[in-house]
Amino acid sequence: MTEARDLTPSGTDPAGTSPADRGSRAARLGVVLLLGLVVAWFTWDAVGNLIALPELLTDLGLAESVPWPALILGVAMPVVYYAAAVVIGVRLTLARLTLVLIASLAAIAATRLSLIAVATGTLVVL
Amino acid sequence: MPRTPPDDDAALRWDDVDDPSWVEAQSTASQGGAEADSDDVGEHEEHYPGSPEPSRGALTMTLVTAVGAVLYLAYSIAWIVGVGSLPLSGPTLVLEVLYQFAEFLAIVASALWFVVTLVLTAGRVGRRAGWLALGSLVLLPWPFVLGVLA
Repeated sequence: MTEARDLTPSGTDPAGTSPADRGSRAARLGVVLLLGLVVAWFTWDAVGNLIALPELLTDLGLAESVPWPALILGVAMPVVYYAAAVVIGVRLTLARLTLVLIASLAAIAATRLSLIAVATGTLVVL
Repeated sequence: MPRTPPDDDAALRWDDVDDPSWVEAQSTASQGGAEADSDDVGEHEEHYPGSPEPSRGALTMTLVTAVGAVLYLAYSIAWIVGVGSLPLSGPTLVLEVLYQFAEFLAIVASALWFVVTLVLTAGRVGRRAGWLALGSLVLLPWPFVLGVLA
């Protein structure tokens, strides 16, 4: 009875034990790489800030108020978050892997805005 | 009196995975479907006979989930307000679109974290509480917090 099987709550299945739900290796790798493009852009944006902001502040004579911790964390954070999500999701089904990766992208975006807010907040205080 | 003293610290520690209460909660949740598919060789060795009143584990799970739902809803609202207070704009159209997309991602981050935690920690109270607590630190809405404090 396939209908009866569908009634089973999804939470009762141990994650990723059904081979049919895991998708092919290529599909899983494809999802990781595709969503990794967004991570690459976040990292690129952070590297741009790390290079441009100190120059700008130095030109303005504010070299001592460069928010170095926020800038460096901004570069490392996207890769760390995404790698953690891949480690968590690698044993799950393809759908759940995708869900975890998308959630990690959202967490990266939120932390990025938090770092920007903290960095600019420090600037205003100084 | 046979009454056991109340455990005041029960809410302050995470129950471990071996706690039988979460297994019980899981089996009661899956009873409806488990009767139908007998060929499903599941991870449960034995289903408990139906107990009408919810167990302590199920109550704890409901409490943890409810507290998390309220907290993450508040986070979502704080992110919507906080993102609006950030004067970010891209110098080019492409960058502007990407910045807007990143702001949208930040707004939905709390809801996504909550949903993913619920999906991946079904029947595990300790893990659910732990991941919700971690998310409350990672997703702390600093733009809103600093805007309020300033």
